[in-house]
Amino acid sequence: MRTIWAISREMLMELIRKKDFYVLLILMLVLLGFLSSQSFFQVQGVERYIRDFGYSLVMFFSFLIAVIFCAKQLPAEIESRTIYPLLAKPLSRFKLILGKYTGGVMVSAIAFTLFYSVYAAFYILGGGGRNFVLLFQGYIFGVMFLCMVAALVIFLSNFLTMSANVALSALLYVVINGFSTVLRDGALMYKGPVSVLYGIMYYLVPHLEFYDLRIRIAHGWDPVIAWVVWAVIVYTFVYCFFLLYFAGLIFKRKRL
Amino acid sequence: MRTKTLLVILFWLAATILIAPRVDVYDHTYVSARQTADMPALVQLLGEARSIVSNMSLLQADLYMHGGVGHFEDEHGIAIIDPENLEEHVDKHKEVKAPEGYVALGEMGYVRPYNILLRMSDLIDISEHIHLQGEDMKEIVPWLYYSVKIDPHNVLAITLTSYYLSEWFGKPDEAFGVLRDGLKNNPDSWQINAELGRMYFTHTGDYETAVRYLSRAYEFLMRSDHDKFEERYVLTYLIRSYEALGQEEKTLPMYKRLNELFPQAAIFQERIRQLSHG
Repeated sequence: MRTIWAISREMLMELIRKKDFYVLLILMLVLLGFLSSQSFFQVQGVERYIRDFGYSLVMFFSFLIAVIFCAKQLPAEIESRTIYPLLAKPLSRFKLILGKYTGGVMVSAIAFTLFYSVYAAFYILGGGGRNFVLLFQGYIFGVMFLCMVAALVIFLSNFLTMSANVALSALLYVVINGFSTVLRDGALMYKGPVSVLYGIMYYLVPHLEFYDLRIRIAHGWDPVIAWVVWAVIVYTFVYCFFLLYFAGLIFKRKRL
Repeated sequence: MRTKTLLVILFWLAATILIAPRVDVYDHTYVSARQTADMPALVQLLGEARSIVSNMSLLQADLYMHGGVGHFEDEHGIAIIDPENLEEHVDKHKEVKAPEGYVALGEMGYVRPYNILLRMSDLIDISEHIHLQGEDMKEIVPWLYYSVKIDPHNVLAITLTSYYLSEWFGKPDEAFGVLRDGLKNNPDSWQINAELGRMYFTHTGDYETAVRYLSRAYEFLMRSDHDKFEERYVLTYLIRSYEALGQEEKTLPMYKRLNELFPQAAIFQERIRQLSHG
């Protein structure tokens, strides 16, 4: 446990030392401030547009932090050969993967918390109906989203360089968001083996779209019902467990 | 080597950013009104893509109108074609009744209760169909604004924006501003001329100006492809403007034209008879 914490702390220090996070935070403040000050044909009290844009910005920036920080961990350690003294500690490869994952989640969750706090301030201070349950659900779903993204990126970093991993993760995000409904509809509309095939594919794909509460928050819909929130949390943990288990298994067999 | 590559990329990027806004593919006399210099630099940089972005912004306004969820296109379609069938049609979108041992997933179908991911997906997604009402309508304004600003030649965006500003948000002055700017960029648009005419008729009582714009709109309309409903729209406001000015005799040829377009409408025949007999 101590070794995992030590690896995670290193990543956390990296977040503090590097400028990426501060740049994104300032950019977000500037963009949201600018949009809030915009006037559209003298029509007052326009809120949903800022809520919508702000939420997208929070998720996108947090996604960037998670992907960039997680994608560079293993390839950088291998390239600079710092992995050898690390594994000689002694530290099992599974623990190394777990440490990198925990660090990735911590870093992105802290960044997300700060981004989300800024967003929440705009949400609360702006006019219109406020739904604090939904705002809290948005936070929980955001953290779960980052857990999933970090696990996925750590898993992929077994095979890919940092740049390829970042590109593929972004592509996966777009594709999954756009096409998982196609799989769902296929599973529901067709009958027999085709439906089963669609269903299997649907279960295998990591459902990053589950975590997106943008429309609910921006347009003031009702919060997600409680059992679904719990189901999403359980789903995230189960999926991450399998991703990390296989990541560890592959990394264990990898020649360094 | 890396620094050199980076410098080359930066140079080309800078060159593109500096040159792209200066390129105006419409730089000829007919469309001399298309002054790119009036647009913000970022919009200039979009080039011809601004037409696509502008339309996307308009679609976003439509999405906001439906609470961010979108709408059943066929539902709106049938509402226009046959309002009597609307209720029956909407019924088709009601939830499917699941057989025993299954759970219904909205209108999509039904699954076994243990098919948890599909059920979660159904409950996270929003499948309700709403239209914004009252105060909430203002939420579409930013997208209309961007649609108009990004592409000053998007006539649909201009007329829609002015309509919502004047009729929904009580901002006729802003609506006039949008239309006047729109007319500068699209002087031959019958839609903008017609909308200006309608605005003068409805909001100012300046019927002479209304007649001027509507006559011009009719002239441009006749030069372009159009349907009989568009023609009726312009003629109706033109007739009403002439009638408000007390120049009813000028409306006779218009009623005759409307009668040609809609021979079944007894009201036009009646009016022609009245005007013909003084």
